[in-house]
Amino acid sequence: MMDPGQPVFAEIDSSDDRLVHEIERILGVTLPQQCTQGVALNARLLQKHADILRAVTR
Amino acid sequence: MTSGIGTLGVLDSAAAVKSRRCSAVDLAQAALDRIARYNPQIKAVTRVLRDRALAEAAAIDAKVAMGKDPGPLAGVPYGVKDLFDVTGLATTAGAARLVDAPPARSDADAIQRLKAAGAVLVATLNMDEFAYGFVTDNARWGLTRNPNDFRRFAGGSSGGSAAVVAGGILPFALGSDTNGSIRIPASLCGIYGMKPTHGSISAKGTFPFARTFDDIGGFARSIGDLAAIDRVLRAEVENDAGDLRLPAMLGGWFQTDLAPEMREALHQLSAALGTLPLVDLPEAAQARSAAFLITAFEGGDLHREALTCCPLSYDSATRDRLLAGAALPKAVYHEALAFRQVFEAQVNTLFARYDVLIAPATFGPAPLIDAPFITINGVPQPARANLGLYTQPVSFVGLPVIAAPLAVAGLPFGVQLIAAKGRDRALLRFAETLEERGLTRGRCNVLP
Repeated sequence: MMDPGQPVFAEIDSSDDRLVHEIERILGVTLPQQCTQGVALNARLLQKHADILRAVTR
Repeated sequence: MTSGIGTLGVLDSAAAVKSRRCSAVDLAQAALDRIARYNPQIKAVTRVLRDRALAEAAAIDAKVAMGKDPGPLAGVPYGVKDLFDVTGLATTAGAARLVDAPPARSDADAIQRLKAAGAVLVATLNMDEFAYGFVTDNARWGLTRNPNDFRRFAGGSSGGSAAVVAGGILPFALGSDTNGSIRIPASLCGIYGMKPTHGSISAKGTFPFARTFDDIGGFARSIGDLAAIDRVLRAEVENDAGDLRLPAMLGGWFQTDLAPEMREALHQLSAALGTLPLVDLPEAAQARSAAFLITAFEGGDLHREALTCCPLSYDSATRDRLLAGAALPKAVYHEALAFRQVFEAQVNTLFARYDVLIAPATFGPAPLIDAPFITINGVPQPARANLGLYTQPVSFVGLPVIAAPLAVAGLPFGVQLIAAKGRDRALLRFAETLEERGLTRGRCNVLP
């Protein structure tokens, strides 16, 4: 179980590039540049839903 | 009798074939003609199964001619969402990357059951790629348009299935529902759709999305037709003689962000049913978010290998959602799964007092394709990801739900009729009483 205040992605408050680099590390791949904006957007959406689930205000 | 047969419903089609007022081949040919004529406008059909349909129909006619029982769905043409295995065809799940996949060696369980009941498979139907969307905007097969208004979405991800039924092209169709993919297009197209109790109908031979929530179910223009399909799909008919008599309206989360016409229609429905008690599921927002996270994790996990190998072979709208989901920590997934027990206890508290819960299926009528947003908390959000606002908390705990089209003027929209697990047949009977009273009404928009 993660700490409720712990973000889903450590780089969630960083730039899209840094956030997607973190995701690339998790997945063990280098993603094409055209994925960056959409993957970052969706990662932030997942963070939002995790915060709602945990009743965390970020 | 061959004129006017194209828009017959399920039961009427079967009765016409059994009584020899028309042949199964006539019905299949009429369906094929309607697809050829109307699909260029609405882009609901992905593959036409002409040879198979005519062969299956001829076999039904032969049975009728020999005096054999052709089955309860004798000669009724139908289509399936493009994620059901069809013998000899690649199962694409709406993905261009699977067009050249090895063909299925057998039909999905549901198709086998329908074939044994006499139904005739005519087409595969459009969907959001890998079922990950609520609008049926497909990069390979195009955007399915709503037969009620071509400027609007049909909903998704089973949008092709809903559009062919609402457009009077086929009497029924099958779809799948993980987070609302039957209920949302049924609501936006003005027809009935059913998500059964989770796992109660075999989904064997369908392309999965999120195993915790995936179910298959039917679309039809009347409850009688929907019940006829359900009877065939269900391997075991539940022993459920008790009727559902005590409905309540879900408030709170389910009454926020509604379009004015939906708000008014719900008020009228409540009044017609004796002013329903307004009840709350206080953690519906958390349930929706948990469903969102579980879907992202399971979908991402399913596609992880292919995504990391060839990300550009996916539609970008699907790819980027799946990639983010594939990176979601397992601990978050397990948190979301654990919340199901909490929420199910809240749901069961309501079912201890009421038999049926009623909630909007969508915020209101179908959004315009040129303005693909819905407003949540005053902020426009993409329709593709957010039309499941009211459906996701319900399927989160695997309840049976019928999306029922309200009898309203103008553009259609519907409600969810929700029962406790295992009460599917009783729920169909409850829905029938609403239809008999004229409170719900399926549409058949014969296309121009």
